[in-house]
Amino acid sequence: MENALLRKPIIEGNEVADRYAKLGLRDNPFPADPALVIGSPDDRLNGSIYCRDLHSRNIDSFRDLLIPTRDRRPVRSLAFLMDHASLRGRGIGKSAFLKHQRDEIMKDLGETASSGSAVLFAAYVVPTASPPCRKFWEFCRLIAHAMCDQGVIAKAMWRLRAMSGAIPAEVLAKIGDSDDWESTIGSDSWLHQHKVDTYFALADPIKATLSKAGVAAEWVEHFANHGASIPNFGNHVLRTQGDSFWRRSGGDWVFGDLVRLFAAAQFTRGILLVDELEKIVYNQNIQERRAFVDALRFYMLDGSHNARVRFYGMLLTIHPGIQEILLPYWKAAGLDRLAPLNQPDAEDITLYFSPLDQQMSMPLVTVYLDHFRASKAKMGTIHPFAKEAVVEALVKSGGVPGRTLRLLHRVVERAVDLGRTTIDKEVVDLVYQSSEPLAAGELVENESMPKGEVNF
Amino acid sequence: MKPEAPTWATPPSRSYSALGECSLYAEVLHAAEREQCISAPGLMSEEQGLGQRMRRLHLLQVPTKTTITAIVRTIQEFGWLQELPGARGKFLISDPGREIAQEIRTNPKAFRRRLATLLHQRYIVPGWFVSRLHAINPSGQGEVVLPAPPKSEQTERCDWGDNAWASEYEAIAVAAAEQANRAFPGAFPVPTDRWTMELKATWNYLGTLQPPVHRKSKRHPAGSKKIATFGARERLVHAMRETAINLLFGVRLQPESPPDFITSKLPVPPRAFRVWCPRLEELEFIFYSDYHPAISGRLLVPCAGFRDSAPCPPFERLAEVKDPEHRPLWLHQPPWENIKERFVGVLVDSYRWQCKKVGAMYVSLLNVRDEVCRRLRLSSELFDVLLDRAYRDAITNSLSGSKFLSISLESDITGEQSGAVGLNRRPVYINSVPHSLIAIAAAGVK
Repeated sequence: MENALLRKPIIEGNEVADRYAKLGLRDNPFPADPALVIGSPDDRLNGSIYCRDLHSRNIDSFRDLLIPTRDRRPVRSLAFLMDHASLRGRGIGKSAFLKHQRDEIMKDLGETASSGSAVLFAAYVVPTASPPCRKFWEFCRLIAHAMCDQGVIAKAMWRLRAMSGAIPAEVLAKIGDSDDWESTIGSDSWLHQHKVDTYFALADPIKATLSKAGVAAEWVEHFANHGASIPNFGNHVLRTQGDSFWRRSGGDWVFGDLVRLFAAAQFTRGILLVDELEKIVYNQNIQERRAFVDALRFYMLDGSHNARVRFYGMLLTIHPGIQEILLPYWKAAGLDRLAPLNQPDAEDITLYFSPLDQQMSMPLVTVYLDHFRASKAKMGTIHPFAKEAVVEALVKSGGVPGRTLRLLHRVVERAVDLGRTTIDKEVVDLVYQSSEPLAAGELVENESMPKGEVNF
Repeated sequence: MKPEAPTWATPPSRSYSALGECSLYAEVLHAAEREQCISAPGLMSEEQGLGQRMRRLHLLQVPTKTTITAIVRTIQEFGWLQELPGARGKFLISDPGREIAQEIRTNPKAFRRRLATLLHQRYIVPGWFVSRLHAINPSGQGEVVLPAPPKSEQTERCDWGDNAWASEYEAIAVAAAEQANRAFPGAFPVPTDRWTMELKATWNYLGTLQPPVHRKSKRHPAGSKKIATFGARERLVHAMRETAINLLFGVRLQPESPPDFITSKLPVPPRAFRVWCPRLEELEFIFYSDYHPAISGRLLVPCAGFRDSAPCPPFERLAEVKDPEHRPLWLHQPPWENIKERFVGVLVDSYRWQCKKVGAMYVSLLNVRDEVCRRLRLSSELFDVLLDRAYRDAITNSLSGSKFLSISLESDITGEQSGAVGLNRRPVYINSVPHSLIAIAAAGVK
């Protein structure tokens, strides 16, 4: 027997699994735990498998509301994404939608989304358990960290470098696509290799531009010295700021200095995609909730530098449960006039996510299956599934994409165990009945109860 | 000429201080068997005493002297104790008493039946109550609901004399009655206008009574005179319960029909009703629940009926409990073999209904119990026995039917049970351990 201290794993992460070969697949295409995990190496979880057709109507509405176009259609500072899934279970796909919108915008800095008329960035902001997020300064810190970690600040600095005139055109021609920018124009050593002096020739014009834009002197130095590197700026600048900094000047920094930085980098607009707002609201007490909503109005709509130039557009994901909680505070802060949250006034600034229907489920299943096909012969089809099997899974999971994907994961596993080469409705029935509690079906309220069964 | 309907005999006793639990009777008899002689003060003492007992999930201290005295006197009337000559208040166990004490140990069910017969002869209420339930809702096999306001936050306290009747109270009362009749048709057969009229009258009457405790009102400054107050919800609960009892168990709903007793006194006044329900449940005459998930109020279901004859099993004859037409009482006491398929079917059905309502796999066993007992007319005592059998059979896969069932029972105290109200609800006992949660899953095809 081999020494346990020396034994190495024999399972490799990217190994093709024989187990699914009978179904013509390399692996189980559906996630066992369908939740968005940004940065996960598993494509089923990190949001890279995405069915764009599923929410095409919402994508159009999203752009209409928040992205400026050539014809200067007015855009909103605050908009809402309403999660209809709470009535049917989570997993309607809103996080994947937000992540995908961010990726699309950041890929070409909004060129496609705005039809070339604007330079945009988007940051995906999700409240964390640690550090906590209940107060507005904590929310500002969260936004700042998201913009740093997702490379938004760095991209602004790379644009400033590119536009500084200190990098020769032939070097600029070599910086490549957006995926390469961090290792080319964002890397001091790469620039040194191409004979660019980052210490003086590049830093000085950037500092001058930032100073001219009105960025505080202390932050001009920080941005110029560390801003181009995502880890440097995060570790050496942002995370060294204590709570006192964020409490005292977090709002002014995010909605003031940062806006000036982005304006200097000639960004037209920044989109903040705030997910799971309920994680902030549920933890707040009455005073914190009121103060939070007041600060939101001040910094987004009528008090800050951002409000004056209408730079940020914020999409808030509203759980139906918190709509009711927030409404009195929204009204007290006067936000009901500026960005109404109540129905029906909120209709025109809200994106609604509804459950899947039969027509929408087929492309969703196809996109996952195609990603894991062993050969290209069946691309674009739902093979090995029969249509009835997909429909049955959709019905049983209430039309919620997350639940549908999880059920399909189990269906594939069961089909493999049974040695099937195709998957029909019978397998779906078998999976659902054997492990679910005996509780499927809709509840009829105020029903008449069954009669007593004993005759006296 | 139409013959006059026979009436129930006038109850020999109307005192309900002796209506303690069956276990109290048993303990007194065991104490009398153990000691030379017993007395009420002795039974309250630490040496000879009855000790602490559980009622539902409450721990009870020693019963009051009044209760013990009444029980000892009642047992004496039954002939199980005899007073020591020349020593008033001191008792010895009689020979029949010794036999009964032995029976309690060997066959507690037979003792319950014997006590039921004796209590019926003394009070007439046990048999009459079952008959009355069937008379109120004959088409629903005696299902009766006493509506109550739905659960809500405690309302602000008002001054005792502030007796204004708000229209929202009427809406609450009507909604509760409609809900009861929707869930169990005919369970509250009182016309809406009659219900609201009587309820309003009771509300006003309660306001004229002497307040039970004078409390200091929060609205008045400290140091001022204590003012008697009441909670509006509390009074509405009280008024609805009292009105419903008077209408359904008094003679007021149909004054033109012949009375059940030749007396103008209410057979079960509202205060006695509170004592009789748990006692009749313990004697397995009825099942009742204040927490049935489909309604707001108390659900009462008879587990017995008067008939000339009935199949035995599932019915058990209690020959000495008879109605005015001399028909004996038949208790629904199906043995396991006789009911197992139906029991498991209704158990699974009720579990599924709860699952749908709650959206969880583990649901309240007590809610499931309430529905099973209602549908199958089982006492809670019998439910415990049958569930125990079903649980054991599920473990050994010997439940009949086409599928294996996996039944999980948990003894965790749920959030609902930890509150004051939850402690009053009878738990389900499996092997003498209270259980509160159940999950059932199909474990595959046989």
